Formats: sequence, structure tokens, C-alpha cells
Amino acid sequence: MSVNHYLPHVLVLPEDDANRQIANGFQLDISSRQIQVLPEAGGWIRVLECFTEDHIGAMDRFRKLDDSPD
Amino acid sequence: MPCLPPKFLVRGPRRSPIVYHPFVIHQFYVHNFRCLENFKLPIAGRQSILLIGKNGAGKTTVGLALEILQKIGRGTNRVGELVKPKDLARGRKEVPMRFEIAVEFGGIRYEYVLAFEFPDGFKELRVREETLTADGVVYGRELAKVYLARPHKDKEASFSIDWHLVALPIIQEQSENDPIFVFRRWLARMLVFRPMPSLIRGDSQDETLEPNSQVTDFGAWFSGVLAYAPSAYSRIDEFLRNVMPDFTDIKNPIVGAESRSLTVQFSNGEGSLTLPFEDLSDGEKWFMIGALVIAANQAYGPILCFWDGPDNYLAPSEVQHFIIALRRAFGSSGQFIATSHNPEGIRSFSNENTLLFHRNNHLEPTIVHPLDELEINGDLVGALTRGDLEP
Repeated sequence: MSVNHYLPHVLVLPEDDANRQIANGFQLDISSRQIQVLPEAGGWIRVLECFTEDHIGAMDRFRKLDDSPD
Repeated sequence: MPCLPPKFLVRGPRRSPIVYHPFVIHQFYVHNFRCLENFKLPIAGRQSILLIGKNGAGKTTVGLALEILQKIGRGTNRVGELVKPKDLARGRKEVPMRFEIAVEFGGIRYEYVLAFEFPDGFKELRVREETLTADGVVYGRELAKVYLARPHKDKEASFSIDWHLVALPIIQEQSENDPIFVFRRWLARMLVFRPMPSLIRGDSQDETLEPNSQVTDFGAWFSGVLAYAPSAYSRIDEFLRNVMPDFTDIKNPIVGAESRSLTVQFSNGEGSLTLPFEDLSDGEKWFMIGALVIAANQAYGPILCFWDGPDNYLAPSEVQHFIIALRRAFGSSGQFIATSHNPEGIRSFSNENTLLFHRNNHLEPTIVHPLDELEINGDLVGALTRGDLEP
């Protein structure tokens, strides 16, 4: 199973390869499956595009179980 | 004074005081073995390392070279059962085949050198040179003559041995603190893995801490680890509950006069299900192997684990978690070497602990470069996919 999307979790969307490597090092120091480093987006503009196009919708879809919309 | 041949008494210069974690390979050198010629694996000081490169670049051959040393640790001493004449690089028989490994654990640096040669008229290779040091000479050998250092005696002992036999497995240790015993046990417990989950059934008739490369003796290894350190089960349980939330437990019941067979139980609010181990999917068996690697390193490590493709059989969403869990487990003790062609697996490492293997063609040897010494245009996986990444 990947990160449980219904529990608090962190998806790291690195801007470039250097940021991916930093996030990798960070992952080694915390014992949790609730963080996942995604492939590098390839620039800040593409980070924003990827965030708005892929992740905002996913965050709406995977709300916390006790966090129903008003 | 001992009268070992001078070459065995020569000490190299003291190394700079680099602080390593409890165990690391300082050096692994192979010469004239398959595609490895004058080959040094630059992994000193790194707890986990990824080997990448095209098919045929020599990544798996590193594992095969380690497996030769592992077999010696496990008692194989006949040269013909370790290496064959066809293993000489391009059949070059005038040059010795050489393996050298330097490791440090328990505050002692062990260095083992083994060289084979293939003289004219011979049908199998013979030992040309063999040396073990542990912060000082333990024994040395030239052809059939073995010189055994005796620290508290005026003279060393010497004896002759068949030159088609490796000496390390047959020299009698004095105690469990004897460097020969300690180093041999460490070699034996190395994990060199190319698992085949479809062949793993979970049956066992005995216990072992030394699983084979395909891990077809998983049941015996599971029994061995838990017999050695029953507390290892909590580590296995923790890992498996993380990857399979409905995992409940593993049992290893007796099913015959002298055999056991693993079963795995899953349960949730709706009920429970018990499956024979052999009925698990390949990926689920992969999780089991990963759990046992982590538990074994904690129970009887520090271990060197070489895993050829640890990201095989896993769903993309699992690869990173699996690799990071292994890297984390070996972060404070032991050493983990992986090979990978999987983008997610490759992204789970950083440039500083990734080595690129490359061969120009089948007539030339493997060359290896740390990735942080190479210039990469764009992202790493993209460069690998395009085949652009060459030293």
C-alpha cells in the first residue's frame, strides 16, 4: 500500500533533481510511510502546474474521514 | 621474531581517522574475473549504495564475486567449486584472478586477499596467494605453503595444503574470538540475493542464518532468525503491518516428523484468512524477504546485503517505501548494495551513493564512476532512458 491518502501525509514535489536528493536524505531520518517523494517536476513553473492540475483535485478527493465538507 | 615471508609483514601507511559506522567495506577489489579487471568498488564510508548501468555492464558480476567469498565463508574450499577457467576475463590465463576485501567491524580491520592462477597443463585453477590480516597478519600463503602467525610464540606455524583448496574454511579457530572465526562467520552471513519468489514455498526442515541467493530456503531462514533472536519477530511484524495493514501474523507450524511450513494470517473487521506462504503473491513474498533482511541485520548483523534488483515485483507506489526502509535499516549498522533499472528505485538514492557501471563492449572491462562525478543533463532517469549516461 502507498501512503494512506485518508491519513495526514506529505507528498514532496521537488522542483529539480537536487531538491529530490535533499528530500531523499530527509526521508532516511524519519520512520514513516506517510511521506513520499515524487519525481522532480523540472522547474518551479511546472511544480505549480503539477500541483494545481494533479494534487489539488486529489486533496479534495481524499479528505480526512472526520473532515467532511461543510 | 616470526619469520613469515616479508610480504606478509608489510603494513601499509596508517589511514586517516575517518569515522565509519559499525561496519563498512573499506575496499573490494577484483581482477581478471569475468568483466571485472583491475576493478575497485568505491563504496568506503557509504551505508547504502546503488549500482546502475546498462544490461551487461557488470552490476550482477559484483554480486557473483561477493558470492565466491560468501561460499568460502560457508565452507566451500575446493577451487573448482568456486571459480572455473571460463571465469578468467576473456580466458586470459597468464594473469592471476584476484579478490581482495577489506572490512571493519568490532573495531578491527580485516583484509582478505585470494589469488588464483591457471598454469599450463592444469584442468582447474589453483591458489596462488592467500592472506588474512586482522590489524596484523593472521595467516599467509604462497601456493601450497601456509604460514600461521602465532602472536605469543617465537615462531609461526606452517603447514602444506593441496593447492586446489582454499585455506580459510579449514584452518581451525582457537575460539569464537579468533579473527579467523569472526571473519569467516561474517563472510558466511553475507546476503547476496537474486530472489525468485515463485520458487519460495515456505517449507523447511532445518534452521539457517545463511540463506541461498534465490532465498528458496526462506522457511529455514525465518526459523533460524527467530531461533537466534526471538525478538526479531517484532521487527518483522512492524514492517509487514506497515505494508499490508490486514497482516496479522506468520506461523511456522510443524507439518511432519521434521518439517515446518509457513502460514500467513490476514484479518480485518470482516473476518480472517490464513494462507500457506506459497500462495502469497510474488510481491507479498518480496515484502517478507525485505522484513527478514531488516530483522536479520538487527539480530545478527552487521551484515553486508547485496540485492540484485530489490525493486523487482513491487508496485510503483511501494518501491520507494521499500528501498528507503532497507536503506534506513542499514543506516546505523551493516551495508546495503542494490542494483536497479527501476525509475522509482533509482530515485530512492542520491547521486553521492549511486555508482554508474559501464562497458564499451563485451571485449572491454567494466568501468565504474560515482554519479556525483558525472555531468548529467536533465533528470537522471531521463538520461538513463535515453541512454545518454556514459562516463
